[in-house]
Amino acid sequence: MEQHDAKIIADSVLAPTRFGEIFERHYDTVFRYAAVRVGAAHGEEVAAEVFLRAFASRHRFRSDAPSARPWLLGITANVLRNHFRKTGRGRRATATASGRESGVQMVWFADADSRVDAATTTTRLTAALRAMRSVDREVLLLYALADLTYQEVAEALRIPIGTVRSRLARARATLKNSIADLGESTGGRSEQKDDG
Amino acid sequence: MTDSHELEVLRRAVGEPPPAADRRVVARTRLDAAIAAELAVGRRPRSRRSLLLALGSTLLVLVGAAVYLAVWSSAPVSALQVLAQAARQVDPLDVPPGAFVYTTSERIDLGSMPGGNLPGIDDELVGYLLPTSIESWRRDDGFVQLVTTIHRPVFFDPMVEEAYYRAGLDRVDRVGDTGSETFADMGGAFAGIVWPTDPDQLLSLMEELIPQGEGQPPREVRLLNLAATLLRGTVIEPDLRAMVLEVLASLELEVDAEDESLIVAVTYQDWALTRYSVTFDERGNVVAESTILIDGADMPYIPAGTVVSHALYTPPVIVPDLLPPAP
Repeated sequence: MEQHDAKIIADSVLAPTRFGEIFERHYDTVFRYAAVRVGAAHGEEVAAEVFLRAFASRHRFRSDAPSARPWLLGITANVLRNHFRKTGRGRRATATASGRESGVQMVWFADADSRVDAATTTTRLTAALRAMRSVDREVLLLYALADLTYQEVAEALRIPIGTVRSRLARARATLKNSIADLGESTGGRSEQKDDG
Repeated sequence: MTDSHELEVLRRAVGEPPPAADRRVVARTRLDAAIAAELAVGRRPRSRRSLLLALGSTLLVLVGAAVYLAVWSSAPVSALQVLAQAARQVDPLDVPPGAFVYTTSERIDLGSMPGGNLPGIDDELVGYLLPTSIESWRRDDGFVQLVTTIHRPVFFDPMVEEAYYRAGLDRVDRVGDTGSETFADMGGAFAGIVWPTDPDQLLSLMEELIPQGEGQPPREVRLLNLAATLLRGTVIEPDLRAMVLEVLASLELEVDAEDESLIVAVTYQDWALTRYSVTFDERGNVVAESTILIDGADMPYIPAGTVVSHALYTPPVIVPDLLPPAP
């Protein structure tokens, strides 16, 4: 029987070495999400910081959910915000965005730039991400790139699920408008998540 | 165009994330170091439910000078200053190169788990006491070996106990097992700190070292906890040990003599009325640490008045190898 994360984390308060099991279960997810936001090298640093923070605050993990993944990705979102703040890249980008908070995603997209196939798509997606509110963008990225469900995004960001729905709808509409005339060549698939 | 077309475009633009396999060593090493650091100093993260604690009596029998008892009984506030003077007279421990500092601790702490993990238990959380024994060997180059034995948990509810064993959680928890871990290059919680030689300056430094921010217990609790962390199972200069005790003497603390030991405590209102205490032997070593939840416990899964946490420490002993000292 595989134990739930909640049980392992509760036990790790008294037996700290058990937190290593949480690391083994979720490191890949945290690293990959961080890496697509800031690149592999910084992503490794971010992921290391996430697990140190999680370990230090494990007594506050109160979720009844079986998985710690939303909790860890919520911490990842916070660490990424601090990362951008420390590097100053967020401020520079914000300054170019006419008052909108767009720095995080510009940095994210700049790091992803080399992997983008179509320059046009890149430009339009970049612009769309910059145009979004940062809170909408965070929901979008956790949903689209970390593959969280609505409920899990809500847990990660500690917001109501209705707020997740509305933010995601806005973000997707912005994204959709930006690529409306690019056609099917950019691909497409049905979503598999059970979000009701 | 499908409904998720724009998400797929985004995913394609980002591409496949890099493989994590080659990028986990740094993170795992740092996490292991943090785990080892917590084990080495016996710290636990403090939460409202786990910051409970324990008792207050009967556990310490240490040989000491009877003269201190009289002083402590008649003038409890100055007892810490008297203890500081005694600690200053103790010969410093000489640790030969390559030798180990050996300490032991016996702990009993509150554990909790979601009731849903146990067959037939509907409670949101269930609690139990988990006794552990830890032996540690530390060398001045940062090497640490920890030998931990997890003893049989103590349950408050026989149904929970039965369900716990029926679910096989004792095997998962490795109850009865003794495990050994070694760590290289463990700097220690206070590595690199240059300690002042003046008590006022030491107090200022300690003020900087204690946790800050909202939700923290009162300043006296944090300072006493820091002092206990500094003085338990550690090899430090007698002057520094004495100064730490002098700093404590300057604070608003409860001081009581009991048998041959001195109990220094703070009672404060947290989520419940709580008493945190540290017990010193006659040489200024920390030999016990506990917290008692006096009243107002908001924990239906723990019977009122239960002793839920207590720790005993032995003073450090120098040993030549990774074995316990000869009896």
